[in-house]
Amino acid sequence: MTADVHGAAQQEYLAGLRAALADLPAGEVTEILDDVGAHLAELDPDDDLVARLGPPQAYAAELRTAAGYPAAPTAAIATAPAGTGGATFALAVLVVTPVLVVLAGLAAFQPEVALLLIVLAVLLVLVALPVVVSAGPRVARVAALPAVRRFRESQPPPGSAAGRASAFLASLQPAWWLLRAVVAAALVVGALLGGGIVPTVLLALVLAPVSVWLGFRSRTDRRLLWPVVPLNAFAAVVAVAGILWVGPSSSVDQSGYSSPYLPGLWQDGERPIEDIRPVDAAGQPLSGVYLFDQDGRPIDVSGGAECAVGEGYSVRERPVQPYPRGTPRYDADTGTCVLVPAGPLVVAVPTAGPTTAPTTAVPLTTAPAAPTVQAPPTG
Amino acid sequence: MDPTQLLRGVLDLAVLAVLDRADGYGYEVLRGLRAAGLEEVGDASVYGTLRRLYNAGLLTSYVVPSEEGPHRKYYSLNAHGRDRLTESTKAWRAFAGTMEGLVGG
Repeated sequence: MTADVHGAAQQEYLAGLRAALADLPAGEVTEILDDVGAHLAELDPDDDLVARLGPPQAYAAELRTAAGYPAAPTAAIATAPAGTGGATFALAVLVVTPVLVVLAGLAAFQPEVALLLIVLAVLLVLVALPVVVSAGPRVARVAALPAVRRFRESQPPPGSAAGRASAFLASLQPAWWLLRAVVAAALVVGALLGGGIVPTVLLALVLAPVSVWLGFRSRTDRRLLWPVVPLNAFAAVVAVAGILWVGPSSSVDQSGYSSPYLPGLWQDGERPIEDIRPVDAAGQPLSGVYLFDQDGRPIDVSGGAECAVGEGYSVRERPVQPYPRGTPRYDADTGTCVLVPAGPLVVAVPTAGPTTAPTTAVPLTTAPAAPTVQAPPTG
Repeated sequence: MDPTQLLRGVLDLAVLAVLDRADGYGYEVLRGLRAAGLEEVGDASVYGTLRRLYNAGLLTSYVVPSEEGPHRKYYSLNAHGRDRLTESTKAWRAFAGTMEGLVGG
C-alpha cells in the first residue's frame, strides 16, 4: 500500500525495519510501517536514510524501547555482528584499493611491482563484491558502520565556508566524468592502435555518456563505488602521468619545429653519426685522422655530449681528437660513460671510374689551401 | 546532563501536549516536538511512543487518504489521553518546581 510511492532506498529501509520487527504481531508491524512509511515519503528521495535515521536495526531497537515492546530476539541480534564483519571488510577494500592503485602509479617505473599492486587491488574488489552486491543499493550495512557515520557527521555544514567549498567541488563532478571518459578512450586507443588523436576523440564521445550515466547511477546505487572508485583512482593517476610526461615532451616537439637543434652530427636528420671511420683508397682503415669543415674548424660528431642518458646530456669541453674516436656508451652497471673503441671494419670502396674522376678532382683543387691555414691540434 | 536522558522520561507528556493542540500524523508530531525546541528527540522514539500511547488506549487514530503520498494515520487525544495529560502536567509542574528550587537557588 505504501510501497508504490517509495523509492528503492525507502523500500529497502522499510524492508529492513520490517525484518527487525518480525517477532512483533503483524498488525502492530503494519501500523508502525504506515507511520514510518509516511515519514519516509516526505523525505528527499536522494537522502541517505541510513545516515539520517541510522540503520533499520538501530531504528527498530529505539522504537521498541519507546513503544515498550520486548527487545529483539537474540537470533536477530546474533546476525548483526556477522554482517558487520563483512561490511568492515568491504569498507576496508573501498579505502585500500585506491591507495594500491596510486602506489602502482608511483611504482610505474618498476612494471612488475605496479602490476602486482593492480592485481592485488582487483582481487580485493572481487572478494568484496559478493558482500557489497548482497548489501543492497544503499549498502546499508556498510553505511551503518560507526566509522562511516562519524565520517558523514564530520562533513562541514552546508552554510559554512568549508561547506560551500565542498559543494563547489561536488559541482565539478560532471567535468571529472567527462575527463575520465577521455582518459579511458586514450588508454584503449593507445593499447589497440598505439595512439592517435582522432580515434581517441571519437571513442571519448562514445564513452562520455556511459561515464556520466555511471556517475549518476553510482549516486543512487552505492554498490558501484567498489569498482568505480579504484577505476577513478586509476584514471586520475593516468591523467596526472599524462600531464607530467606528455606535456613536456610535446613542448619539446613544438620547440623542435621552430628550432631543429639536435646535438651532434646527423645523416639527413635521422641517423646519428657517432664516429667517423676514415679509410684509404684501398679500403685500409686510417687512424689518427683529423677532420675539418670548409672553414677549417674541427668537426666534432659528439655534439659536446659525453654520453646521452635519457634526455640529459653531460656537456663538457673536449679537446679535438683524431678519428676514429670510438663511441661513448652508457654503462648501466657502473652508471658511467665508457668509450667503446672502434672495432674492425670492412668497407667496400667504390672502384675509381670515369664518373668519379671529376668529383675527386674538385677537392684536389681546393686541398692545397686548407692544410696551409690549419695545423693539426695537439690536444 | 544529556538532554536525551531527560527527554526519555517526559516524552509521553511532550507527545500528549503536542497532540492536545491539534491532531497529527507521526511526522507532524515529530516536527511539532522539534519546533518546540526538543531537537534531540529521535524519530524512532516518537513513533514508538505514539504506538505505546495508542496501545495504552490514550489515543485514537484515523486515516486520511493523500493524493500524492501514502495515506496518513492521524492520532488524536481521547478522553483517557486528556486525563493522562492533565495528571502528567500536574506531576511535571510539581517536579519542575522542586528541581527549580533545588538548583535555581
